[in-house]
Amino acid sequence: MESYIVECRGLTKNFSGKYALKDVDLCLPKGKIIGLLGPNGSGKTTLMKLINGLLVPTGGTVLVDGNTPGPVTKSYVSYLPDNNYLSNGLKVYQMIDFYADFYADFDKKKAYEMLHILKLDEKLRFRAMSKGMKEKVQLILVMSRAARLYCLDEPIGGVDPAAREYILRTIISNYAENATVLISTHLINEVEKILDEAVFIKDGGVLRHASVDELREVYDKSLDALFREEFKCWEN
Amino acid sequence: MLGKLIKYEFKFTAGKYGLMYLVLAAYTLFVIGLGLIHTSNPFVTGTIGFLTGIYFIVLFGVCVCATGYAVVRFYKTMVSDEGYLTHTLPAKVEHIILSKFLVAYVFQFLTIILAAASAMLVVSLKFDVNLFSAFHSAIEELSALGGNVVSVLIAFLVCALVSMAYQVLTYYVSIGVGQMLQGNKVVGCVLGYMIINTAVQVIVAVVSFGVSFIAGVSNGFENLESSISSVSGFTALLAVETVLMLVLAVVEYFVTSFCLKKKLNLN
Repeated sequence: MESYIVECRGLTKNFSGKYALKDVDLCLPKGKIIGLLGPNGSGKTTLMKLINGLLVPTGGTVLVDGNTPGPVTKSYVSYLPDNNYLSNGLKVYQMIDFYADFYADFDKKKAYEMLHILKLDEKLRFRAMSKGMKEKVQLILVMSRAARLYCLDEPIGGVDPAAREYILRTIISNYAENATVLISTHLINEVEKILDEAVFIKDGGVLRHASVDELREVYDKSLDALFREEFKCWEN
Repeated sequence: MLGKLIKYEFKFTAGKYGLMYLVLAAYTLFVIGLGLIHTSNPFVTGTIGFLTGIYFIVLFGVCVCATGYAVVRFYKTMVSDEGYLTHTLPAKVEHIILSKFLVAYVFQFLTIILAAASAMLVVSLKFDVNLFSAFHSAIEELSALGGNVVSVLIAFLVCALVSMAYQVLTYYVSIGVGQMLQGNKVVGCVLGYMIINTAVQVIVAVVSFGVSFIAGVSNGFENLESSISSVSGFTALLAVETVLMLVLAVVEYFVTSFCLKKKLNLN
């Protein structure tokens, strides 16, 4: 029997009566780069948060490598949220020490190497950094872990095209062997070339889940073209 | 893991508290220094009076800021953006809350000690009051009321320490409950605090009244007033309130843990 890194069964989350996710059944295999694709408000971030235990399901279950989200799963899941969680008063090296102390799989040397490649000063306070610089530091912290699952929520959403290229390269070249990378984005064109599988999510439900090659073959079009067709906002 | 959480909580908050203590120490020395100026110039004496008045605002301000900082930090690191980091640490929610509570408690305690030391210094040096003899005469007056003065002092001290813990946890539970409100968490937390604090005050008042009433019944309501106002009566009342606050503090801790574990809403 195949074991999955993420298993969702009837997973439901509603906010004040409105469903963000409804009855989702989804199994994500190990060792793949998977795109969680959908327009804004489709439920991508909610799913990411449920996997990371930042929200509690209204119904159904979610298992991460066989465990419900909690301290155990957090020790092997590396999460990059779509917002800045760094405390402005801290310096980069303090955050690196913090990560190294709490996560047994954190590689301090790798973090400093990436910092130097990106010419980021470890003595700089986050207060003195631009939004883009903070996003890069967050990505470095997340990718310096040898995690079993990386959850990257819109990692290229707020950066310029040149930085997107670097970020995607950083992700591909730094994720641990046999780990799964789950990337949530609506910038399909940018990530298409690195994905093994794609999950199309719409109105809180899974529309499609297949390998990228299979999708291309069946629909005879690129993932980006398929996405545009599935999620078009107007009719001709 | 708890040890690491406490270590980093101390590390990340010590600077802010240190700054507050530095301001207090500097202004305390400044006010004491003002006492060295002897002049009959009304403008200078007026200015000195004004600056001395400001001292009490600084003293009060440091105490308020220390509490405010503990509350804001808990909110920011638990239910706002920084919560994304806090809640993805491989640590139990109970340990995270406990670490924040312990550090906040230590700094609250230190703040009160330093504020009291500062006030005593200013009062004794600037206003030329002999604190030792004032304390001695207060003890004598209490002794005259009858009962064991040492026990009332210990009861008062324990009550103050428990009350401080209970206050911090009341803020925490308000945030834990308030964050569940969709839309505006800050409003939820403020409303939560108002409701929880009122409910708890009512409970404390009812229990205190109940204890006094039971004491009255056992006395056949004879000498009720004197039994409550006596030193031993006061000590008993303090002991009851201390136990009650301790129980409420423990309940608040578990309710906060439950809310942030089972009802976390980082949305």
